[in-house]
Amino acid sequence: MSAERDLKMGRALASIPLPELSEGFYSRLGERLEQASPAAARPARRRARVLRIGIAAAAVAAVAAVVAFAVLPALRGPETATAAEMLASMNAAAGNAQVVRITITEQRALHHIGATPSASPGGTARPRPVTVDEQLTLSTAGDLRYTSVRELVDASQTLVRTHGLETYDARAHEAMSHGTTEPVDASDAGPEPLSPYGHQPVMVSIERPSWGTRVYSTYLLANFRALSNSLRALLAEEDPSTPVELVTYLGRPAWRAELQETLPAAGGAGAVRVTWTVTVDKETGLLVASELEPVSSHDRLPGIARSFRVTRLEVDPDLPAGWQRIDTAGADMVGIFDLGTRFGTPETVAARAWPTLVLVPQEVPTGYRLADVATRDYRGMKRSPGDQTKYVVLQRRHPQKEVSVRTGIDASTQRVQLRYRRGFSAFVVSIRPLGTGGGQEGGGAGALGTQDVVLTGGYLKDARARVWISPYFGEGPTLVTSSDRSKITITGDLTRQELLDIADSFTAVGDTDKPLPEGYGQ
Amino acid sequence: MAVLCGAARRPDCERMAHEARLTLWRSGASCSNVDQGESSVVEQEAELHPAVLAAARRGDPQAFTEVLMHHDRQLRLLAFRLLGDRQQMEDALQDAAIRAFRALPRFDGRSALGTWLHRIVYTTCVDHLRRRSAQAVPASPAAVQDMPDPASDPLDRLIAWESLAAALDQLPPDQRAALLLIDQEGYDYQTAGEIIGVPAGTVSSRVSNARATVRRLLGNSQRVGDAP
Repeated sequence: MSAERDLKMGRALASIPLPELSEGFYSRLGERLEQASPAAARPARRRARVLRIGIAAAAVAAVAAVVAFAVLPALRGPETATAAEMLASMNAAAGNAQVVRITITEQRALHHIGATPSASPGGTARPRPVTVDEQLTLSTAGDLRYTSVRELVDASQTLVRTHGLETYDARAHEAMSHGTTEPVDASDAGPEPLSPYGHQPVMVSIERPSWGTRVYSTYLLANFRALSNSLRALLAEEDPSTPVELVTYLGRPAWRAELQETLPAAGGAGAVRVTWTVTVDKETGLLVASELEPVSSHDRLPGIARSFRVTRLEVDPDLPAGWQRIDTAGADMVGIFDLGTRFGTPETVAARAWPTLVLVPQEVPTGYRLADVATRDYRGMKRSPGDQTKYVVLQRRHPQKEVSVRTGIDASTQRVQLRYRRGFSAFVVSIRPLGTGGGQEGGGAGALGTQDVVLTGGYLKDARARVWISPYFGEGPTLVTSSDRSKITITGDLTRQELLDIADSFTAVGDTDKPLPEGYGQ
Repeated sequence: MAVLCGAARRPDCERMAHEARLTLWRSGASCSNVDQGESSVVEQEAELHPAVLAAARRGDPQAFTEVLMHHDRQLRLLAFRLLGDRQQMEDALQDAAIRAFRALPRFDGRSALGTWLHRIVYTTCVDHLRRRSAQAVPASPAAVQDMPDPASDPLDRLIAWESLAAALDQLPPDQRAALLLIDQEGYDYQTAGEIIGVPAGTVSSRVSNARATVRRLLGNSQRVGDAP
């Protein structure tokens, strides 16, 4: 026993509880040790070891005179690999996983609570700590379920709890949503209040083949998607030998990398270099944490989440049948929105969408497959003469039916979309008539990584195109170009080179010889 | 403790023996020196069978797991007190274990194995702390809610350890580590200095500062050592 020890302090410190390791900790560790054992040494490890030995040799030469600890060999920093190895791993990610469920639990301070017990005597409301729970379940087929529970202050200054639930059934192409709001003290309801439904309808819509649902319009998940889509592209921009770390996150092997991005400074003068520190689950390739530095740059670019941390990750969890839908059996009201989206094959969609052509890439990154082809009226629910979009509300308990049928979709407004999937990743090719809105062609103007190129092959040979990969703009890596009749956008989980390869490989499906209608696209 | 390694043993027997040890370990039977802070980690060194260490150094994952289990509580203690979060503690311990496993063939025995493992866990935790923009998360009741409360009067004990944990969390990680290694784990300044990577004199001053800060934070409401 050391004479330098304060026994009284030691006893007190020992009274502080210490958590046990979770069930399976040593089983998981055992698997990793097996992989790390000399018998399982892989070429990648050998390269990393050579790198470490090189670094260590230099370090030892510099400090040999002062370093005498026997512990030195293990202290050269975390296990490392290279950006190239991480990129290769992510290209092959998803593995055998079919479904993942991520949970994000955050503690936030809720301000501006009005006449509530938390207001201080001086009249200044004290922040109230609240928990925000978000849960996102994704399948490689494109199914999705998203739940959120959060507390906020409504217009009457009452603290309320909102429950949000959204689903997407990829096979049926149907998005469903439902939400409830209740005073905080009224209920201890769980994250999915399936009953009662209250008076809010369950909304059902036929979704276009873009990103699934409006789930991704939420602040946090919009950032999650844009950064997830950009990871491989940002990695590909790095020097392939850039070191990345192999770490443990939520008990699972993960990559951690610092990815650089250059952004325009506030006011457009100069540029600022920011760093995304990202953690990616090794098995699934999913982004599980990110941190943006410096903060000052983030402050100039509102709408970007500075940090993001998945607090739970479940791979292939047990899920009930129909998890990707909302059971409407007990609903007071079901609203059905038909936005005019129609799915088919490239040929059937081309026949419906002419003069818009269906452009099918002949070169896609390994593993990507065509999941959906569809056409839709880009104006969505906007009521206008000749629009045959249907709006239906079915009130089950009050058997009334409102049906608004619109006739005659204007061919000049048809948009075609193709969605490709690989594991949990996707990219979308969107083709719309010239002169119609909704594109992202101006979106990359502020990104310093923007590159203007001329396409060198395929149906769009010699067309000018713009490419950017910033997670700050839109949905991540994007290429925008145009033909004689259409604007074409490619966006999703693609590197800069992959975007160009796709754009250089289009073939057109549809009648290209038929003369365009007079004034078309103007 | 049974010796794990044996060249002629059948894999299924090894697995069964391993599971048996896991069960023993989970029940706490394999951790003998965990009594309220007066034991010393140094006393545990003799319990690890040399054959286990030899097998671990040859790259036997199961033998290395045995080594880790032998030092489990002390390593867990250091990681949790530094990181303040159970999940992050586990992540850091996994990373540290992999680092130690790879480095073990080069371990020359000039320091005690426990010291060497502590050093790796400490540096790994510091790496994790550097990645976090904030300081260590306080060891809140939620973080330890699944732990048994050892107090005879649970409420009194809860207040006592929560106050001390809150004071501990106010310390910089280097002071916190020094205090834990010296006062709770019983290392001397020289060995603690090897773990933290500073001279013994620096450990001494850090411990002094840490003790003073903790006592000041606890103030008159509760004196260290008076906890039930």
